[in-house]
Amino acid sequence: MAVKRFLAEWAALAGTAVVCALVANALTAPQRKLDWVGRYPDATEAPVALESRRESASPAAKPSSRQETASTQPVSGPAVSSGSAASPGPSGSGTEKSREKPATRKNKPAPAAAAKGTPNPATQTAPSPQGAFPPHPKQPWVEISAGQVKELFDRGAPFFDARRTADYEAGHIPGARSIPVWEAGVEEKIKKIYQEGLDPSAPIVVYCSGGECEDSHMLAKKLWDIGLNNVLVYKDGFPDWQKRGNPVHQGSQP
Amino acid sequence: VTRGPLLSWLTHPWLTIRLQIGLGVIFVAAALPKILDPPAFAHMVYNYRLVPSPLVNAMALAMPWFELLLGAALVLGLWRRTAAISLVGLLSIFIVAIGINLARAHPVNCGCFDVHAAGKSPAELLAEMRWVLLRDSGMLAAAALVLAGLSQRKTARALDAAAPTPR
Repeated sequence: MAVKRFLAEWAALAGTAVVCALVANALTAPQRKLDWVGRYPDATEAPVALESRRESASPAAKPSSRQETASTQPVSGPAVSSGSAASPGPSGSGTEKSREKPATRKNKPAPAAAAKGTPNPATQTAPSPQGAFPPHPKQPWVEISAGQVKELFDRGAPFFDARRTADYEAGHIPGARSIPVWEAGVEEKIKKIYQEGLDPSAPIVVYCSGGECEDSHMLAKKLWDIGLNNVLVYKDGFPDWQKRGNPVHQGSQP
Repeated sequence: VTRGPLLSWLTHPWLTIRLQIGLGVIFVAAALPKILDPPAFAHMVYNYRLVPSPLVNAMALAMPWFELLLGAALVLGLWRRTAAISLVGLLSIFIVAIGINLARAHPVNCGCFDVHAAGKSPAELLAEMRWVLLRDSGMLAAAALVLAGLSQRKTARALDAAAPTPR
């Protein structure tokens, strides 16, 4: 009898909590809304420490020469600092899982680019038109230095800001679009980018708050999943951009 | 039923009722920042790297309300037994979650009373996690005492009811 009563009261408390959460989430401001079902990579896997991740990203650890070329070129350029070695995707040191993934997605480049006859970067062997930033279809992202970010900014490459809306509005890299990975609607925004048909091999820069922030890596993984093969992560993020005296734009518009 | 003086004192209503209200207030206070910013709390939940991807957001949305209701029930003295058992369960889960991450040296922001990362270094976070483990263990002990006090009073009432009525 006591157990029955406990279960009934517990169910009432839990049910009320869910109803309250549903109502509150429906009524809250867009930047505080959350999708009920999220999609996050490696949600149950402890990330390896940054240092060991960098160690494992050494070219010797790469299984294929093509992947090696693609992943190491951006960081072997003259503007690279010693601390910005190319890192593999969030799964760590190029696991089978992370290598297999692109094989299933390399046949679906962004639609408009496909219509224009853009060569599939996964099969590209000629010198890259992206210069120092060749596509890396086998890796979700590659980390780049502040100097390389500035170069891409000057070239007009697309920038994406993974931070929360409030942070974006307080200040962002001019031209950067806001895709806060922790707020509701991120999948719709990603879908919109897919429909815009960006060149899948063109360099794209994503950033967040630097330091331990991994939101940019999460966004990079989502962009890689829709077929963008040249996502570059500005590891030191917006604080570093500001510190270097680069231009900053405020407000909700890019 | 014979009990030692220490146990009698620890399960005395004077103490357990105060613990019950104190725990209730703590849980209400802990729930509010999470309710006000679910995306930030979802980030905290994700950082523990223990909750499967599809459940991260659902947990971040519903759990703070559950905490709030448990806290309110304890403060108001409603469904105390159920609330105290649930509290013991929740605190045990928190302790296990922090313990696993401490064991694998994965620094996480607790997300207990504040859902915004304070920019602490990994070493600072690990030190803070040890303190959180201690604090949650203390709260677990307090919740267990509340539960023991409630059970004892229930038993006493049952014995009183079963005793023969004097003529």
